Amino acid sequence: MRWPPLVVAASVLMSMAQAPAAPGTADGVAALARGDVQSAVDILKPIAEGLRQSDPVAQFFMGTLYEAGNGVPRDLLRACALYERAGYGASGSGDNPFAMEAMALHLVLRQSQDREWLQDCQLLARVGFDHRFEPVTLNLAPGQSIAWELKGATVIYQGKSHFVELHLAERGSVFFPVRQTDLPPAGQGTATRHFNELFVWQPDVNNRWNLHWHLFEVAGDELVRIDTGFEPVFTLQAAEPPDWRFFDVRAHVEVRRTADGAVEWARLTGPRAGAGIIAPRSK
Amino acid sequence: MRRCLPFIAVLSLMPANAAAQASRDDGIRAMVRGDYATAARILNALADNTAQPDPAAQFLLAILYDTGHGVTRNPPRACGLFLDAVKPDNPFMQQASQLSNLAREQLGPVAPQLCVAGATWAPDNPPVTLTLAPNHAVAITDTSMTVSYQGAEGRIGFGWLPGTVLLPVRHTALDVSNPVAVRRQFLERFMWVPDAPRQATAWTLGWGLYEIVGKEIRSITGERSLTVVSGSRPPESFDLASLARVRMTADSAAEWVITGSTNPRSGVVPWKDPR
Repeated sequence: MRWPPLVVAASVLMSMAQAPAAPGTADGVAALARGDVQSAVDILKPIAEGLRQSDPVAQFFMGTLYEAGNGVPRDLLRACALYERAGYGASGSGDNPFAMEAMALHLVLRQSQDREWLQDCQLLARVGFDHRFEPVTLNLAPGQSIAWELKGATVIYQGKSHFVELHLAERGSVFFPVRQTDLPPAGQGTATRHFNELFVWQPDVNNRWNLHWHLFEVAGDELVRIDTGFEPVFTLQAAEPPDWRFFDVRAHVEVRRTADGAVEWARLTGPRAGAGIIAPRSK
Repeated sequence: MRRCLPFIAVLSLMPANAAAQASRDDGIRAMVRGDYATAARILNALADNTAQPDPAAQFLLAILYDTGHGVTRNPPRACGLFLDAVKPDNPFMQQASQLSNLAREQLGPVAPQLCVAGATWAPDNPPVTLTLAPNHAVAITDTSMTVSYQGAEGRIGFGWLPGTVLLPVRHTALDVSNPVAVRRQFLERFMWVPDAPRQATAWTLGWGLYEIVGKEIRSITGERSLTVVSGSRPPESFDLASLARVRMTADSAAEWVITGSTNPRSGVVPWKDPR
């Protein structure tokens, strides 16, 4: 027997109505109104901080909680980033009362901070809170080091330092720790070459994670970006990118000495497998 | 019979409490889903409950008044409600404190007069739109007048002392022939201003006259004190026209007349072509 379409539609509607709804923003705000800050944070934090949706109400309240350190550790940068996303993020959020108040609080917060701080706030708002980037300073040689941040790197060489702005982080980017690769000299006339590798997972619309490889050489006070192609080196179908401890990037890419002592980058897998020589910087 | 009494008392208390609880959540739900008019209605009842105002409701209602969602935007009222919500037992105290500081800053030097905790506000007058001519209309709320004229727009805003009771705006069209033959459009705004933002004992009747010319709203004249009456509330009805009005003179010009106040006076409203 066939069910008339209307009956089917009705039964689908009924089953939808019966399914227990996950707690939403209103439940979180109601919890906060009862004074149950912990439940409020449990509900509102993932809604506010997730990049899949932009919910100005959840973002407004989480922003105020971070600003005051109520139910979460005090974190003005996160507060700022949430106000930024609530107020300026989603299209049409200007028509939301909480988005408007978030914009006002954003303005107050930034008045007490400098321009650089505001840029950090905006970067965090754009990239999201789950980037896993860990700032690190790598010592390369006596008098030569490099400090990595989400927004770029500072090269320190013979007592002088300069900052290079890099746009590696995008919306939803997830980083592996910066990897230091030093290639020792190979025979006469060669020196140690210092490479830094950044591995960034970028989500795409199809729920896939694309692994991008950014290869840099530090030569003297210079930070040189090596062109290894812009395509991802690996693609993974998963809800989350893998933990760096359980993923072998060396199965996919490498920077190495060739048999005759030159240095080359290599993509070992995928349709863009290949290699290229990295000539030493002439000083 | 005597033994039953406490039980009945408890019973009659419980549903009332549960209802209050449910309706605050209903207000939150309405606000989060974007039904601001419903949210304002529910939250207003909770916030205005003089016996036991709900500070959480006061905070959320303040946001609606501050941003003009579901209610007429009213910064002084929002500011006062934010102040009301800065109470230690309010889970939104910290947010209310942040936003009340900001609201006071935005009100500027008059903030101490305009931003008052515990003020009693009269219900808002519903927004009204008057059509003056084809392609010429004025939208009136308690805190603004907005003229739209052939696609252009003119606007003025008003901030009132807390507790002010606004009367419906009076519209008068006069077909004058002096100095030119034209239909002139006047709006009169009457308001009762209390002597204190709460527990008022006397009310002063104020008046303002505006003329609409094209997209312009011209402020013509006004009087702070047409009369003063005592009482906890302003009079229900009052013969306003006996105190101030706009009318046509014998030679067909427009003139305003103040008969109330300690300083009765009148004046012709000069005609200036629209810019």
